[in-house]
Amino acid sequence: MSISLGPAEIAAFWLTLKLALSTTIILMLICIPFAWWLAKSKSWFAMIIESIVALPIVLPPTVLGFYLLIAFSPQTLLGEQYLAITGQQLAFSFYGILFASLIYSLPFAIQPLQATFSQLDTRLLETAHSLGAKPLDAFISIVLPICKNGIISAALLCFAHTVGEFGVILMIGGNIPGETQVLSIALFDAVESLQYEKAHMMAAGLLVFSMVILIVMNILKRGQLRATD
Amino acid sequence: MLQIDCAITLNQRHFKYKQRLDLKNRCIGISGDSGCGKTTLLRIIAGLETRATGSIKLNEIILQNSNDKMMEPAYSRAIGFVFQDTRLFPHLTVSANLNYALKRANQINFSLERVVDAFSLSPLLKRMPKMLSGGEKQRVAIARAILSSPKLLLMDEPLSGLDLAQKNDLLKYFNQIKTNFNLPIIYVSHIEQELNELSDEIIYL
Repeated sequence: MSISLGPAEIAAFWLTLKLALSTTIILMLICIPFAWWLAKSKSWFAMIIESIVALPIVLPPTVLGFYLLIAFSPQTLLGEQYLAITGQQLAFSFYGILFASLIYSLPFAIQPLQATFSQLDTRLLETAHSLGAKPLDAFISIVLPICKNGIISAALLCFAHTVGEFGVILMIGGNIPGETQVLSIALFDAVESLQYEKAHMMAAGLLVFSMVILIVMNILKRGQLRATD
Repeated sequence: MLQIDCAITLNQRHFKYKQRLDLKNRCIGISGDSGCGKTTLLRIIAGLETRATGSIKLNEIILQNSNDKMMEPAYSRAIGFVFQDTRLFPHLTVSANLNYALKRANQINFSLERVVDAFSLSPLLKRMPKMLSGGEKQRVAIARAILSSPKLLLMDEPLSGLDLAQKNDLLKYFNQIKTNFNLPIIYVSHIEQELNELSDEIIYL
């Protein structure tokens, strides 16, 4: 018996890939400088920000989804401005689930980056300055290459976490094929409609993908520990 | 000429420095008991202790003047620093460590070939820092600091932690810094023998 995925599942696969890639790229651009600041700052303000950023880890996804849904409604400034500019509602759109995904995956990018940066011997930066390197130059030439494995690990975790998102996406995006129906929701849909063969294929794919990501992350973590020795 | 009139409080200890050092391509040794603030003095001169207040002037160029809230950052002071623990960049080869300094020097006073020859680094160029002995690491660190073409070279107990053979080997190279490169040096150590061998003048903190 041959089982193949239908166009809806294939569209869900590509949408998931697009969402996970967009989330990872945007979060890495924001979180690398942000995590560096958190890792180096000793202020109370940074500690409060750190706690706020970690909120999505402990909050039920439905709570986050509910508040985002309210924030996206045309009655709020954000929803109203978005509707005025694009002519579309933010909720139940790709950009809506992307926004939600950025917030939901934020701690999964920030925390590993912060841990990596905290392990870095900052005396190397002093040394770079004494050799004439300006702060940004020193960050690019010293911090990024030494922390390379940690940064890749954070990106992988962020990507994998986005692929596995369900609750927030369902609350914000619903289940619109080609627009908001990602793989985890397509899987839920297949189970609901008793299409277990399709569900098996998607579930097994996600399982193997998650295992591969975790193995790669462990390899990178060992490499990072050796590099910072 | 280096004029320094600075103060700093670190870990509830107050350090005050008032010195006028005639450098003129000489090596000034700085001695003193452990914890008397020798390393802190070097860090203030290099611009690595931004909490220090007061004034520093090197060859009539003002590096710091707290009254005018003026502080030249470490990266534009052109002051080389050889740290006790070498601090080679672990992700770069010896060659890349040396080129790191060369590429960022404001002006190039010494060629890579000349410095590599002076410190016998040719066989080490492709190695990573973790593949070097303590003495070799320190030779690379000194060569790297010289390649940044500094106006002044600060050396903070560069022989500590090395065995006697490595120390004697390095001392030969240290003597070359004055003779071959005409660089003024401030050399910190708590070992009299080292200071007597290298310094033209010794200051006790």
